[in-house]
Amino acid sequence: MRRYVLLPRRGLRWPTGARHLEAAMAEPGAPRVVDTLVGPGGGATLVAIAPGDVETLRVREPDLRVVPVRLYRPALVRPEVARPPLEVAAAPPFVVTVVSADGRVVTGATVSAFTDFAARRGARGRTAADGTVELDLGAADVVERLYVHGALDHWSLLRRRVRAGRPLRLALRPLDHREVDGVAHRYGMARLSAGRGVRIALIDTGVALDHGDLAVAGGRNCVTGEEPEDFGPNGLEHGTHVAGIVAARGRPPSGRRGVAPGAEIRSYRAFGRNRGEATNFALAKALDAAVGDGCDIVNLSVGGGGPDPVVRAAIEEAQAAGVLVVAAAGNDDRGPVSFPANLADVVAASALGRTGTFPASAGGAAERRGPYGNDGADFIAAFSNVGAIDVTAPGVAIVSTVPGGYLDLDGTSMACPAVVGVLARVISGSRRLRSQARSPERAAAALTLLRRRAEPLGFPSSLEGEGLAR
Amino acid sequence: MNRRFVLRYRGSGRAPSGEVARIEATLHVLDRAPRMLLVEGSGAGISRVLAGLPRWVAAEEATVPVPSTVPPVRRPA
Repeated sequence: MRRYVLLPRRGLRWPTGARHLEAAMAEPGAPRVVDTLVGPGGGATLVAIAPGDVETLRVREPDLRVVPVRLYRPALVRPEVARPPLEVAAAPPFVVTVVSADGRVVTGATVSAFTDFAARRGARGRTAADGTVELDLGAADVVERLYVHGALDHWSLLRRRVRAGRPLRLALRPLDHREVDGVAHRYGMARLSAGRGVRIALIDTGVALDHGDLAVAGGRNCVTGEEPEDFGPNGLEHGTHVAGIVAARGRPPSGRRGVAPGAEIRSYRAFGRNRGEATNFALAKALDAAVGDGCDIVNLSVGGGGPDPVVRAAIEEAQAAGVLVVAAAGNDDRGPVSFPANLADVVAASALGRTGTFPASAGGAAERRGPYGNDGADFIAAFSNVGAIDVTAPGVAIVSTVPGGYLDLDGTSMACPAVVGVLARVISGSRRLRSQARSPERAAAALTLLRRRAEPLGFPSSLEGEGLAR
Repeated sequence: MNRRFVLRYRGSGRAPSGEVARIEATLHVLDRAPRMLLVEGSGAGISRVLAGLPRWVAAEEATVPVPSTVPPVRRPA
């Protein structure tokens, strides 16, 4: 199936109604309507149709224009990437050893060495049992940026302009939960009752069921062919990190505290075991399950890949049932807000950073970019998508739960659960909303409160929307 | 060539069993939910089945990646 736009012979709307379109839709093998400009059949209509049926349609309906869909991309300036020399002498690998501050080797850390960061040219590997990783950088002798991520219970690390010709030893700074990250800076130490009475669906990679800071009330695995009760982590830390930002119940110095620790969290796993992707079927199934389980808010720290009618339908039906949907704006370096965050009434969250809420050596330090707001320490992350943003929330160097410990991560994926936590507090803290049954009216009232309470930080609205969710 | 499609019922409540049976009679069902079916078939086959089922929408199975929380390496050094 390919997508085409059906148009009248002239203009975008049919002057005498959608007679031609209705005729075209009545035939066997007719196009399937994906979207329409102004009501069903009233104007330009996006359809999916087998390419072989297009000519038939054109012959049968000569007053109909059938135009193939074209894709447009943001006009981003990207430096041209020169091809590497075809023949270079085999260079020895760049050997990096990662240790903790006390000298103990760190295994399983991801080391990314970019020889040309703008082109994302580089090499990546994980440290072995001896704490080392060998990276093939070809003939490059300078690493423009070198990141270390994923070292359990340590801050990420960024080094710039590193010589690649000799072995490198890097010492990581252990996490100290008394240090105030972006979430703690904005929302403080939430009371354990904050968000009580609100049920939240985390549609993600699954949530660790045995983490001491988390209390997962239930959930479902929505991946085709997998055990439905297996809604724990799929091998990736993403969902567990998201869960901690919403509702971690720990207390420094031994643990972390989320934005709404009193809220009930449920894990709907849409990503297959050890897989880094989710299907539209699994996402829609998870949305349906969350609605069926009586969730008040859905956290969708996923996105991209273009609009999908199935996920869109599931979101619209969730909203019709009074469920609030919050989605990450996307991490495409200031690209437009991605699907599904760009859908109507889905809350789109950009990622906010603040200098001083992470070590200057942490990976998030590279995400500082203007324009700046009222306080020069605040910034909207360089990676964050922008445009139709509703609110902003902390999403740079956020320390949260992962299976077996804690990590700092960057992303609009982290801002999204902070907004979800705030929404839970909004609902829980309002006697009127708390006493209301779940309905589109209640959801609209909660969104109005969220927007009204947001604190403008002085950024353009395309970056912060109404401001900081609080 | 057979591809995988998601069929979603847009009416209210569970998908009518008669309509589900009609789809099952024509297409290979890989997974199911109260309001959805994951099926395998040709694009033309899907169009034929859905032609008589106006309350269903279809989309080819698609995937989204886990959002990256670290800068991606896109090209080898």
